Amino acid sequence: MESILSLQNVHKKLGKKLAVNGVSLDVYPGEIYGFLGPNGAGKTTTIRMITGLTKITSGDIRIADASITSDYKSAIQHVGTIVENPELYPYLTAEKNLLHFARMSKNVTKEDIDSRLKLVRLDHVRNQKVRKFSLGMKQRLGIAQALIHRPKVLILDEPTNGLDPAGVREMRDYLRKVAKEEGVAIFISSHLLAEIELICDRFAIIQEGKLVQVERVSDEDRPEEMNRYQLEVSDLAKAHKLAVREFPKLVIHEKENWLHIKAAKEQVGQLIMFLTSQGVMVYQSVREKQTLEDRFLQATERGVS
Amino acid sequence: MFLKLVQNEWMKLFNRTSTYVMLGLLAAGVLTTAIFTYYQQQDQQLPSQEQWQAELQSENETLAQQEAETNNYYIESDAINQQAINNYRLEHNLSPYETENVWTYMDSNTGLIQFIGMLVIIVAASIVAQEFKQGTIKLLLVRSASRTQVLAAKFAVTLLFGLFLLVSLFAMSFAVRAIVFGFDGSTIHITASNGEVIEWSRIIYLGVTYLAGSVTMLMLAAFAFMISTVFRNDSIAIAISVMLLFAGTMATNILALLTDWAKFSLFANTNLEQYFRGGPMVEGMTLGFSVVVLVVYLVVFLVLAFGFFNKRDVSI
Repeated sequence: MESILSLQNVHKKLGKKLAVNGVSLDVYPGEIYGFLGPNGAGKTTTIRMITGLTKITSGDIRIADASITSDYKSAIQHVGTIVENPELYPYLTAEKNLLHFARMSKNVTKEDIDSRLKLVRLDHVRNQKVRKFSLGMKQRLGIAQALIHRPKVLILDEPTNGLDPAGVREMRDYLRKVAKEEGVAIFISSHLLAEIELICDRFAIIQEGKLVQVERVSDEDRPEEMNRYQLEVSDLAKAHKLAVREFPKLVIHEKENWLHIKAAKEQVGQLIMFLTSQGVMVYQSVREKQTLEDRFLQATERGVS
Repeated sequence: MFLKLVQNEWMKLFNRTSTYVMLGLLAAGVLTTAIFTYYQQQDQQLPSQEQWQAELQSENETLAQQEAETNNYYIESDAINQQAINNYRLEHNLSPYETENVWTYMDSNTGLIQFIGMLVIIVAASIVAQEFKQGTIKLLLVRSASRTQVLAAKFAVTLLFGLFLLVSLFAMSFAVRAIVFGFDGSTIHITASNGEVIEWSRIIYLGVTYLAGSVTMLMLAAFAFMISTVFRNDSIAIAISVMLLFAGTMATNILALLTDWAKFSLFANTNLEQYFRGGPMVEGMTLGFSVVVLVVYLVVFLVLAFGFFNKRDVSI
């Protein structure tokens, strides 16, 4: 599949410092891509370059195969964005805010405005001034604004900043919906790992302007992937002995009354069947989930050293 | 695309409370002058023919003396022109005094043009800076309109708003005055330039006054627009521009007493009316000269504004 957003060896110099240093990545249609990094790592600068607010020092950014530097208009027409807070006109009504941005793109009809207002459940307050909106409502209107011209790429910078848990969840649901139903590629920057973990398909970690790691969030779900498991058994010593004898290739050890093994999904199943057939009861088997946080810390520490 | 951007800016302007406050203040200004002049003229006695003729003759003697004594060009030409007007009045038996009517009142309302100038400066200064303050500039720029188009639409709306205020002032003054004072009165207005007397139809003269007054407005709007685009701060732009609006002409007058270079000052040229009455501030200035100077200033302001707006990174 063709990538819809492509960063090619992008650099940005701010003063003498390289704020972004050779970032390359590709985002595909329908994919939600997380862009993680500690504060000051270059996330916002990168987003500003993608949206053309800031000029690129060297390298190129292509959106739907049009360069943001040399062919700005055709590139930017595919982009919808909320940069940081949902900045809307407080003295305009919800509908007029959307009308304002609709007029700036081709082929946006009155029906599009209506359907976007419905999607974010704001059609009942369409004639209310945005000044009176709660942050959650503003954020939803921000999404409606970003999607009004049916973009192919949605760029969100820290989209859940300041939202309460219900708002965060609601936001997640909208984003999944548009990614799935409209094939929009979504690029989200955040320093909140838990959030990226819940919504993204893939993520990249940026550290001091450099891309440290690109991974799939769900890598550990693949059957051939080796993961850590813990088993609670009735007779620990016996189970350990049997396991080592039957599966000599696996790493197996005892720790705090649990049997720890590193294995693929299939192998764990076989081990449990073997143990039970030998008269050892297996009470539970737990996959140790390596959280995104672990991976983030792993990656960023590696970047520092 | 450009027209839609203009439509957007107009919509934003007219959804703000401050715009209506401005219109309200303007209407209040028109009403205040109407009420004020109405009560003033109630106990007003027009001087008789002998009285005003004697008055004009004695004024002429003073002016003739002034003309002979001074070596300042501006004072001299002013004395010559005033004498010409006075003589014209004496010859044709036209009293300088008349009862208040729709025309005299609208003359007195031209002072409100300067007030409009201030309102336009405020709009020019805030129309760009506000977007930066609110952060909405980011959403405005990440659309398929070029930065030049966005800025041009804002400048166009600033000028349209100025025009709207002028037309409103004209219409409101005319309506209020026609109701309160009626149409009776002289329909001519007399001015003189280089000692030659010109007789104007009142309505055309008023139109010219309004247009000439709007030149200052246009130039200061462009100036405020430039300052607010370069510094992204509306307070600085409003402060400097309003100061220039009120003090600019006076400063140029003082400068004109000292040096001929004053003719290159913006404010020596904004008052195009000077070529129809009273003559220019500095000797040797012509209408063509002023127009060229004004265009040069305007181009400099706009080039600076557009240059900065297009080149700079948006980092808020």
